[in-house]
Amino acid sequence: MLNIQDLCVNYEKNQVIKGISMEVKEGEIVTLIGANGAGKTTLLRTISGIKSSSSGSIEFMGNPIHKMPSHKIVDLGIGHIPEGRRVFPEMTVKENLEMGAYRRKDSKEMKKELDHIFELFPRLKERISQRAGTLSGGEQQMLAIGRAIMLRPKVYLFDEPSLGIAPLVIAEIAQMIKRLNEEEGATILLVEQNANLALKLSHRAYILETGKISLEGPSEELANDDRVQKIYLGYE
Amino acid sequence: MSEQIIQALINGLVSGSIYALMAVGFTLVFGIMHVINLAHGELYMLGGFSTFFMVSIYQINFFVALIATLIIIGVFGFFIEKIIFKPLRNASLLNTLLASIGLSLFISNLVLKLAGSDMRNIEFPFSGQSISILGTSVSVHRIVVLLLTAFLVCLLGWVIKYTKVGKALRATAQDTDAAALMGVNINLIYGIIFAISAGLAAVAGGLIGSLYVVDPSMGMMPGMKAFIIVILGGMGSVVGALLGALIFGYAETFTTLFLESSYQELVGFIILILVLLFKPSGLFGGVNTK
Amino acid sequence: MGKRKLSLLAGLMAFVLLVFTGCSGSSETGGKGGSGDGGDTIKIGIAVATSGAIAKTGQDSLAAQRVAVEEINESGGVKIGDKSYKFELVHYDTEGKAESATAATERLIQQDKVMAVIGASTSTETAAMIPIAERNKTPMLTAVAAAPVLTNMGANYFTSASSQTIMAIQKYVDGMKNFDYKKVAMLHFNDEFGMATAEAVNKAFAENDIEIVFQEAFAPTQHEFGTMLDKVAATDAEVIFAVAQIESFVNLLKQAKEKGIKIPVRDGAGGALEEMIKILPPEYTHGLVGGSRSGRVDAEDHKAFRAKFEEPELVNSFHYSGRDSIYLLKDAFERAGSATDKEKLQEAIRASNFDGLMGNYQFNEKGENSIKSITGIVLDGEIHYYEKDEDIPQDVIDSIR
Repeated sequence: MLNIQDLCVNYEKNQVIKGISMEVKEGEIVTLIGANGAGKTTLLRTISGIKSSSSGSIEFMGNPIHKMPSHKIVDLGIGHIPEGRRVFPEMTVKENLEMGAYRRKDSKEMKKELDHIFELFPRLKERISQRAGTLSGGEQQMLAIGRAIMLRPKVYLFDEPSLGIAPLVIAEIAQMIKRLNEEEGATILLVEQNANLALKLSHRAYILETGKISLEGPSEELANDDRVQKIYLGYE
Repeated sequence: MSEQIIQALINGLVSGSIYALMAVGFTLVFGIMHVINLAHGELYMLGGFSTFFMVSIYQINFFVALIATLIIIGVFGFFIEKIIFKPLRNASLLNTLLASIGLSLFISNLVLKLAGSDMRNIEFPFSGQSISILGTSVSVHRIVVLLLTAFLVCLLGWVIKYTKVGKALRATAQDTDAAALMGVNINLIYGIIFAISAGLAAVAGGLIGSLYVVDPSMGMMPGMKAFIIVILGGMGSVVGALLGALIFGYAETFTTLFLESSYQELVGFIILILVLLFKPSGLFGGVNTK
Repeated sequence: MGKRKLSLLAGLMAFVLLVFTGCSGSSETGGKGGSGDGGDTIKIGIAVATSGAIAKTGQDSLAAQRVAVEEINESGGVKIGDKSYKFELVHYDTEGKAESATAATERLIQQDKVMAVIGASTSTETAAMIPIAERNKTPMLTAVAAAPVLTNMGANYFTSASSQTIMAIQKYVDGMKNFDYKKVAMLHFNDEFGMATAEAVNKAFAENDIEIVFQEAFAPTQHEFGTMLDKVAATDAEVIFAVAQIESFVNLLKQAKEKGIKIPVRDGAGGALEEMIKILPPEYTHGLVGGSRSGRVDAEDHKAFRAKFEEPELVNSFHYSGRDSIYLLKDAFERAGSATDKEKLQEAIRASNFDGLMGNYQFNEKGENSIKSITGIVLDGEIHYYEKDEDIPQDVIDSIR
């Protein structure tokens, strides 16, 4: 469904992504594990069209998207939940959710969608006219996910959903990701530093080291790999 | 004296509302695009000329001409963004500032070449008429200017608060990347912001051109004052720009009333210095486009 | 920032600079060909504002100077001994700022080696230029700036060829007396010219029992006069006497009308009545009395000169002054008998007895001229001219008062 070939990305003069090829199939949860600065966030930003690539290709359901502006990519059905939530702090919870459906034209469907999200995250309903900047980290993450669901994307790109969030809420969010995949059939590309969580959630995994894929395979297999255990899972 | 105070209250409001039209556009462009557009005064001047040509040469109704000016200069602003500021999208503030100075020189000299430095008079439909407010006769011209500006500011407020475009504007101002991830076409939004900014400045130019006269250098002082007002209100804050404009308009008017006209333009700069000394972020600094 | 963007920016700035300098620094020889007899030229420097808030007077006088140079060069040039020279103008924009004016003067004298400098648009600029001309012993004329402070500086190389404020003051007093005005509201510029004129007018009016019931200064860049006019309306002034250049004057007239102020506005700056009636419809200008600096514009010489312009109806006193300044120099060069001796040229300028469009130019030891100003009265959008000793008909006075 999402197919990346020999992708290179530069920041100023530094090459951050040095020829990555990877694939996400329909219905899969694929995770991308790597240390800080390995290029995970850059990869997601490049898929979404916020960052431009210097060479290589990205195909989404057969369409080359690496030269497309971000709003066209959104139209094709890629929803991106960015690192650090990035909710609109001065807008209300409701306005944030409405922004999620910015490209959708069917206002009746949107109303239904809103109800659906409030069902998933009852806490957001309580805070419907509160400014998003005043929410807690966990609530903001729920809002960010809800905002992405409003679009009904075919693929969700999650960037560090567990970062800076209380452990209890992390479990809730992990549950949500699983539900999206299992109940709604969404395809998911998950970027995580928390390799433990990521390998548990996902079907397949890629390990990214300084801009290159160093290891790939089914998540269970990788979880048992010595090197992965040492570096990413913290086993001695 | 009470009659003069009533007059001054209205005069200050008229000046303030014109400044508001200028400052709101200036602050929107800064708040969302992080561009200090020093060519803002030139767009105001173009608005004056556009209104003049339509009213005086083509005999178009003044109000129709104003709406046409809003659209024409707005579209012009859209293309200015595309041609001049888009290539500088990731450049530093100083670079876009320099580009805007260049643009300002280009527009003013172009108009000087094409139209000459002659002053021009825009005929206003109700010129010389007055109505009585609290026993004081007040010029209809000024009241109309006031109502039109108030209407435009409210319209802008409504657009920003309730329409889809307005939400996209706010989202872009608060987090450009996140807005792009929602599918907001950032390039289009930047163009629209510039168009709104240019259109409002142009209407201000047309309105003031009817109250004063139109000439190629008319934009210099208002452009500079808009900048001062935006610093006063807090760079990027729409509410700050509106309040700053009113404070500025009244400061000038009451300086003239109680002191002397020649201090009028001094007062603006004194306010600027005081703000920079005691509250460098401006009255509403940090509060973004709400 | 990428290289591409940097070069784009650089290109943009270069383009802007090109446009800008294209407007501000220009040198041209009037006339075509110019290779006829030797092609020797005499450079004349012009330093006036052609951009900025007060660009109008500078542009007008400069346009006329160019026409005059073209006329002279086409009709045989400046004849000194048995040689004939062509005039070449070098102009720099002073932008209405003293800094730019002094820089322009230095450049004209040092770099362009002009024989004489004509400038500038405001008295403030001109006052800053005079010491430079004096130091470099280069003759300097003004065709626009007119404050008495300029000739009072005691400079040997500065001569005023513009309408003198001193001559005008008496006319202002006569003007008030003709109309029997006793109470006046004076609004004036807060620059050198405005303050000096206000002071002189104050003194002269007091001596003639004309009371100034209200006086206020304002900046030349100011356009908003609403509150100031409200203050005037609260006094018992019979007339507004405004010492302001045309940019401000037109705004003042317009806002006075818009505010419904009934008392007439009178020009106290020798402004361009001809210009005002072109800008504003008759109902704004009716009854406007001004010191026309233009001389009798209905004379044949004036008409012939106006015909050289694309829009003859827009030619005003600054055009005439500008044109006269060039012919005055031609006359002085020919009498001096040298194209290179600045001292002789200066002596010849001061010894002028030259008939221009503005009138007869003769100078006293301070460099003040003797031009008599003429009163212009606007009635229904048309200017009627009256010489100094000519009586203004009673019915005209009645129709305005």
